[in-house]
Amino acid sequence: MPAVEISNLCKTFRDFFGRRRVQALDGLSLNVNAGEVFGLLGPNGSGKSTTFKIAVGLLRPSSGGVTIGGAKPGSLAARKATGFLPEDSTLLPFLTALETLKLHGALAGLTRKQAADKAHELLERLSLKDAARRRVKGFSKGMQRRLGIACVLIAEPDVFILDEPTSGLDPLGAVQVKELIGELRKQGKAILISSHLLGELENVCDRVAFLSKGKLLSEGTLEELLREKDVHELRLSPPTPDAIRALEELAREKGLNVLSSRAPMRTLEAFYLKMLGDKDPKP
Amino acid sequence: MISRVLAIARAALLEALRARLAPLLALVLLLAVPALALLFGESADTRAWLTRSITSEGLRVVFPLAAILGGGFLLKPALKRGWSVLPARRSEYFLGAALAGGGVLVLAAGLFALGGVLANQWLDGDLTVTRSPDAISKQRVKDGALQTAAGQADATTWANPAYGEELVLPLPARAGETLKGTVEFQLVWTAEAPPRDRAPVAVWLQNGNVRTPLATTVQSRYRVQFEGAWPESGSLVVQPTDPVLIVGASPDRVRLELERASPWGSVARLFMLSCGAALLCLLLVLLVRSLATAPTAVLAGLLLFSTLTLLPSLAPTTKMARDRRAALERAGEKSTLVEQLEARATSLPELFPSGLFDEFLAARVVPAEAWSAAAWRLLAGLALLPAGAALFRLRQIAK
Repeated sequence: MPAVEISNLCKTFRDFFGRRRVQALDGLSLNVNAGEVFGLLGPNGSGKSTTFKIAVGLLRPSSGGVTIGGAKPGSLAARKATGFLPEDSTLLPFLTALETLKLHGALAGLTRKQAADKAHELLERLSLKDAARRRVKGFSKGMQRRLGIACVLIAEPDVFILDEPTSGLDPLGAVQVKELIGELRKQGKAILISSHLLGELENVCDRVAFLSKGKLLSEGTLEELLREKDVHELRLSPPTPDAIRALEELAREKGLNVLSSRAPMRTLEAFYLKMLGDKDPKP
Repeated sequence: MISRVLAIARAALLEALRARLAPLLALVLLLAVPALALLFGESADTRAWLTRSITSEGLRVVFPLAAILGGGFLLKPALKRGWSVLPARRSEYFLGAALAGGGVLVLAAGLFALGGVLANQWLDGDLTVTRSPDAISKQRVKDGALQTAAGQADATTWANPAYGEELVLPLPARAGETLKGTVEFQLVWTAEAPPRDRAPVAVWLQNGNVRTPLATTVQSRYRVQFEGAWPESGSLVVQPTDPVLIVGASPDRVRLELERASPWGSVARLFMLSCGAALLCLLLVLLVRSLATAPTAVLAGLLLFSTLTLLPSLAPTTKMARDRRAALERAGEKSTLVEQLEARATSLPELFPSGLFDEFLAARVVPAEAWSAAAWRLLAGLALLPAGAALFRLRQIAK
């Protein structure tokens, strides 16, 4: 059974008189399996947020349905099985980071001691240990984002629904989150992500789906969707001028077009992390 | 479920108490009564009256209105967004938020009422200094010396200054003690001239042929406190001093402080009654808020508040008067639509029985039935909670 099953999901927003106003979702069907990272892409108004809101029980579908681990969205079983990180901060501003995590732990059914231990562990892991007793109101956006992720993690849900998880984070923080997502995937968790930064999804997702006006345009693995079948890239090391010239000559003799031949460039993120003395991001 | 509701309520309460303006508001609530009484009270009497007046009006009017406004916006701010990520049911969130809102309300009302008591102690006024009429009557039966007045205990005797009449009440023997008490009177204006004095009576101690004046303090328009040395034997004399005002009193309205009543009792009763009524308003507003917008919920709350406070007092006649009129004049006739509406308006249960606040304002002890009135309002409010939780569960939140 898929961890998240969305079948023929439709959502129509109506006005006060019951007249149809917006068709937000139109027959969306997709599954997210355990141990898989699934990316949801699409322009503004394509239905990504509506899908997430139906999945966490904020909205009811007009037809079709969503199940989270077999449970109906909004039910206690589904809420406990789901960790939802919305795009905007939903943290209570006057609680400290530690109190916030303890609250989420208590709601997830942990004992006081379990919640406190888990909270300290997560604060350490997300580099918030020094801010444990500070009120959330004084946190930077990045710190709030990290605390939001810690809140999602403390309940140890089976399904993660992350809306723009790296929004507001510095590159190092974004890398940490991506590593975290990789770890969760290894633990067999199902992860549903949306992001406007396509490059980030490319790094972490196993499968992606493209939405437009509430309809599914295409869906598949990154391998299936992104591979260019009529071009080949060859990387050499060390790149001596003679060897490169010889290879280009050989390609022309074989009747191939050499489209580009140049030293590859690092990404800005990789350069930034190297400058900071950290490791390169994982591909 | 209960532990989750309590966890949410605790977090929401901490949020409210740690808000930037919370310490300032707490200080304002605590000092409101003392500061206003000091600012507007020139004499000790006025300050004592203001202490009672501000306390009763604050508890009676301000707190339910604050509950209505607070309830309207309670489910909205960070908490509204926050609950979407909490691993709890929506109904649990609703109950937790309502519990926290109620907690804030009770704390605020408690601080305000405490301010009233502090002002009373500090400004040396009396919120309530005498016991209830029943307790006074029982004490007189026990003492056996005050049953000499003619007629029943509640029969009013009148004294007209134009004929030199006075009201005389024998005192029990308690030599050596301080005689302190209050006399409450009714007035009839003869309309021959405007009333002259602030206090239309003087209080004397008659011991044989010797008459000693007692120190008096005006506590309200119809109430004077007196104090002096308690004689071995003698009578209390209430003498009308304004030539145009006829003064009437009954034995049970002359109260001696044989046992000083705690002012906390009355304040606590009004506090409970106010909290019960304000919580009823708060929970009704939350019920509407669970499905509608904040302004709609506030309007619904104001409608309830005005219906249960204004309409009963706007009705031109009381039910008793209407029944008597119907019996005498038009027995058997069908009442008109207007009369039916009038009857409905008067039969509505009042949110605040004004008599209880009037008693407090006149420095009398608030009757004990305020407890049951508070409990009924609280129960009515609590009955709205499950419906609110169920409705909030059904609500869709698109933004």
